[in-house]
Amino acid sequence: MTSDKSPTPKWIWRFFARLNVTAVLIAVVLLLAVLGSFFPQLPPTIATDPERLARWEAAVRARYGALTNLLAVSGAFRCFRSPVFLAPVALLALATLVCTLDRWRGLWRRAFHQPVRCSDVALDTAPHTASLTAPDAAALPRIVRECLEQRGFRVRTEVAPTNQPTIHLRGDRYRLSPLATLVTHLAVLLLLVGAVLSSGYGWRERVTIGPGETAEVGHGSNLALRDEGFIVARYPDGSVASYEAEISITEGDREVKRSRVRVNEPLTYGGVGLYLQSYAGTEGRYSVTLLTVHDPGYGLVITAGFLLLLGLTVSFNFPHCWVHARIGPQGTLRLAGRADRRAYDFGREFEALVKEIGARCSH
Amino acid sequence: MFTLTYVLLWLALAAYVVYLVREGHWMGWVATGLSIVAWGTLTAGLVRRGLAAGHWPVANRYEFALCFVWAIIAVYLLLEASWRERRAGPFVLAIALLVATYAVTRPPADKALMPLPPVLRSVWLQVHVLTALVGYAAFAVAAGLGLMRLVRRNPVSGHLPGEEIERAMERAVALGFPWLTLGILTGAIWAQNAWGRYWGWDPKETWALITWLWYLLFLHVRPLRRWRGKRSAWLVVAGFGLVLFTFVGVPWLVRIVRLETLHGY
Repeated sequence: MTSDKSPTPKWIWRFFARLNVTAVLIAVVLLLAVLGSFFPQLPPTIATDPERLARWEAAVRARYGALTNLLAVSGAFRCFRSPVFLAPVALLALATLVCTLDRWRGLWRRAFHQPVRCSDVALDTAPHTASLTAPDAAALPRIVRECLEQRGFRVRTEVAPTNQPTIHLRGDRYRLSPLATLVTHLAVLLLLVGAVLSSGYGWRERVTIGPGETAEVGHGSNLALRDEGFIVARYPDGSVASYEAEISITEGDREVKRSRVRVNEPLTYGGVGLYLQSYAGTEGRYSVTLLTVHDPGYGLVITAGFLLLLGLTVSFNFPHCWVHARIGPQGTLRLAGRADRRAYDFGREFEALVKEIGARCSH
Repeated sequence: MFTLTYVLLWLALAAYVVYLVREGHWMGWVATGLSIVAWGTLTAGLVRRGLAAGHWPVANRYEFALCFVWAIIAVYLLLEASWRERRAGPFVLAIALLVATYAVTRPPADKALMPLPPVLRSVWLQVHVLTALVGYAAFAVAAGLGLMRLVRRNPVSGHLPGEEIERAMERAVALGFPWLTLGILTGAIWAQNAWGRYWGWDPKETWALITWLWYLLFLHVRPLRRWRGKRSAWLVVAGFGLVLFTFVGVPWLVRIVRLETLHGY
């Protein structure tokens, strides 16, 4: 991908790894979403039902009149399934992937392979620096270690093998936090894969059945549904409080499941979900409409959603901070602190750390 | 009870403005005290309404607006306590009052206690609405800080450094963004349970995504040098405009453009 013989892929790689390219792609997706929100979108369940599709098209035609055909051709009613929308989403996914691959090595090194020793340049150029001299040089490593550990830092020590040994300490807090960025990016990619699985390999179909009637689920599932009864509960004012249908599922000739289906409480069997949508009829004789759903992407989407949440929470709330300390043989201490951009109070904390070390050294 | 809260919020705003003009004045304590009392009366009012209705007071736009005000004050008071800084008070309270004014001016039919329709009878109602509320409240506080950053040169904004305001603003967005993500995620789980699909490009869902993308954009451009300063403040203020549009603008859009939505409010 980045070989010297093929400069174009390298250029493409660098282009998609740029933060401002990602920002522009986010802005484009956002603008297209705004545009799409102004037009009614054809739901997939209606698109597959000729009768409902005709009704939907008639309603849209009545609303937009002569503009209907123009809007339909431009994809306004299928905006979120049109190439105009899907192309920037795909490019955003590509940018996320490139960014993840581009950064993982550096982030991994930052989390697991940080040297304890620190160069003079790093000590000089750190955003937070301090130096002091302690009368008791021997106690200094212990004091620095304790002060850092009290603040939740994981401290490692290394002694430079010279005649006049120099002691290096490095304290890290939330050192695995940089990996959360990778988790977040991975989650975005998984989310998109889940959405592709849902729309490409899933199906939804409405089934209406009367009392005692049976209906095939279809789609090669060999399942059939039977309406075994229906109840409506009402509030004292007569409005509907809840409604439920007792449904039995048969596979071949054998009943495999029987349960009540309510709004918010679907029934699932063999990867097919039954969702109670509506009912019609008069007291004692109701037909119910169920939505039968097979969605292989749902689990992945929700898992990815929680991974995304985990990544965001760790990135924003547990920023990586680290402190280098170099203790010379005469009791000279140099401290350098760095932190992730989101460690908003680190400057104040570093000052407090230096103050505490100074106070404990002078006792 | 809610009228009392509304009056107390106006008094708190006036006290914060006096504190801002006469920096270091004891009026700062009065402002904070009035805000705490307003928050307390609002809490009591919401609890009473919830008990009377038999469900959490998050079932319609009026109740959501009241909870929104409650959450904005709560997040702001936490910020004030942790930051030990009151000068953002007038800006954040002005935003809280904007939402509160929307709530108190609702027609009586919107304010009436209504039994829950079947689709709202789910534990996900509380989880989804409350998580989104925390996110919205954090964005409201961020927008208040953004306004403060935008008028920083004005004498009434005191001498708080612009960078410090921006850090607090980014912190508020960083708090709100995971909560908004959780709000959308719990909404998706609820939609799957109730309607058999986790995402349907319903106008409300689309605008929640638009809001999410906006703040994602903010978090991506924030490290870029040319997007610091007032530009980032504008982004945060405009982001809250999107939050408000998702809340009150989408039902209007649905009505005007005659879109279909499954969302109650």
